[in-house]
Amino acid sequence: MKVEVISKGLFSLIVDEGRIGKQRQGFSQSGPMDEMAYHWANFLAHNPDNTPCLEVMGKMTVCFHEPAIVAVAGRQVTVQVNGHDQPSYSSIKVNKNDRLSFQSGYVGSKAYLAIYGEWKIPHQVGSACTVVRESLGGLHGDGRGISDGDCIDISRCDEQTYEAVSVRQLPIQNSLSIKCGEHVAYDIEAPLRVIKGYQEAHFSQVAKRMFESSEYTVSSSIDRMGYRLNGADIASSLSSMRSEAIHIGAIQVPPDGQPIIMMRDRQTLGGYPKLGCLNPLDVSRLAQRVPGETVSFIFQNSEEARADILLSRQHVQRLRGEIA
Amino acid sequence: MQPFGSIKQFVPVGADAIMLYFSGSNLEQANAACQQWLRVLDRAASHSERPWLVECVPSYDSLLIIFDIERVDSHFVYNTLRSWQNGGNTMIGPEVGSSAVVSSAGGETEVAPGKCHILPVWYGAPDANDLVEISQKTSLSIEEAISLHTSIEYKVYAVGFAPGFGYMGDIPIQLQCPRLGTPRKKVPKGAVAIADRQTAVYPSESPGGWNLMGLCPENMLDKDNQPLLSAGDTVKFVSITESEFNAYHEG
Repeated sequence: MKVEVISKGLFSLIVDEGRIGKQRQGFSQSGPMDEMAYHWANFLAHNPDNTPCLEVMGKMTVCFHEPAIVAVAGRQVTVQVNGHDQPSYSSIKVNKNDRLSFQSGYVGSKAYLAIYGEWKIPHQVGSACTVVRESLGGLHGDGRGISDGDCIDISRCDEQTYEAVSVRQLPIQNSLSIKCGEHVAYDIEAPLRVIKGYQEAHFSQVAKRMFESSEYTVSSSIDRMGYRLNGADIASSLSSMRSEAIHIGAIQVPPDGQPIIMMRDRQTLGGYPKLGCLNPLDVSRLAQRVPGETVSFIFQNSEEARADILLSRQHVQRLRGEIA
Repeated sequence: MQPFGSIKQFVPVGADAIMLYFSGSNLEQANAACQQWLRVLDRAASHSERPWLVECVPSYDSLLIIFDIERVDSHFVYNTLRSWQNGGNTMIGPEVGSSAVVSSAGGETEVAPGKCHILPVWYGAPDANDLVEISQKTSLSIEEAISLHTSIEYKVYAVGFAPGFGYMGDIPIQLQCPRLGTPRKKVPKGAVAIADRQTAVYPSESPGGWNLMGLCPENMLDKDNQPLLSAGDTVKFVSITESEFNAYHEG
């Protein structure tokens, strides 16, 4: 089945879960910026984990040459099929020649389009994920983003499956957060949780207090490598250090004292001091913030972080069970 | 988490990762200890004994261990490494101050593996030529700089920054050279470069702030994107002429 990209929006690329075990060779981890939305999109489209998705900034329009089961997820996403509104965070059954358009309400936020079936695209270094800087992955295996007119080849959804599969829908209580019973499973406004680590000891108590008590503005220097924030100066006392591995969500502080949160396509090694890492759950939430918005941070210890993560996984499992 | 053996420090990194820093009387020994522990962890992973182990990322004297937080926590990882050190594993971590020699349970010694590469360089290739600046920064003649760069074998300490980019060292102290004030937007593929006490070959065109000495015709990544260099390998550069360089591409 061909899925034709009529309009790619601002910038769009193919992502999957990314490259695991390859950072020691210098390959970026890659993967979806908003892992949470990516997983929900695939689940709602009845795909197994690690199926590729389109990660889209701006408004994308695609045309389906065959009936298909799709789902769109992301931050305050609007979805239309042939001009008629459809729910986000829901399975959508589209017909032959249907045109699907979708976009996030925030310029710079990412929307994810999952399409049921097997994506026939090249895998390199164990993944189909696009890394522009590494000329790796994507539709043509050369790291290019999606262009208008591109056709993605995905295995056909046979009639029986199309009719038989359930429409899965996530309960959305408001536009910014998805709630599961009383528990917030995905809330974009809450402070970003930080586990202290790395060169934490080389940051003064004052710097750490400033970091936790002040607000930072998301700068316009944000991309798949890192998010540069503007706010209180929290430079460390460390002048030089040997390059070492940079983990996802690491809070890197160059000499100017302005933190950079390291994201999916970060370089594997670097020599700037780091204060710690975001709770992995919060990387997805930061990825959806856009320039000009403010973020704040709250420290937690690794036991609290682990408890949060286990609880969140439990919520996701329960939610998946309820709507399967 | 108390240090033991060649591990001088355990440092938390985030919820699902810890960093090991290694000691040694010099960087080469600390790096060898890092490689040693990486092999122990890889061996465990390949035997699928350790489903908790997600990924290890080594560097000069540090090793990032990423674990599956749903299965274990950092204390479990620490205790497991500690039990291996105490003989719970068939391989024992290296002792402080040992060379790149590892004791196995059988009492034999095993030299750390690593390939030796000979990499040809067309020094002064017009696309990658900062030799005049290098000469000014080091007060060496261009010939002396080239001769020093080819004079010794280098150790690959780490691979990172970009796919297949090997950080090698240490270059002779006379050749030590600060980075460019402003990084270049484009360094060509194959550029051979130096910065501080390090040297490297750029595997593909990329931005970069190192001083360029010439071009290497060897691919640092093969057609399947497998890097030529791994940490622990050794590299010796040899000088070739422009026509030899061109013959490489024709061959």
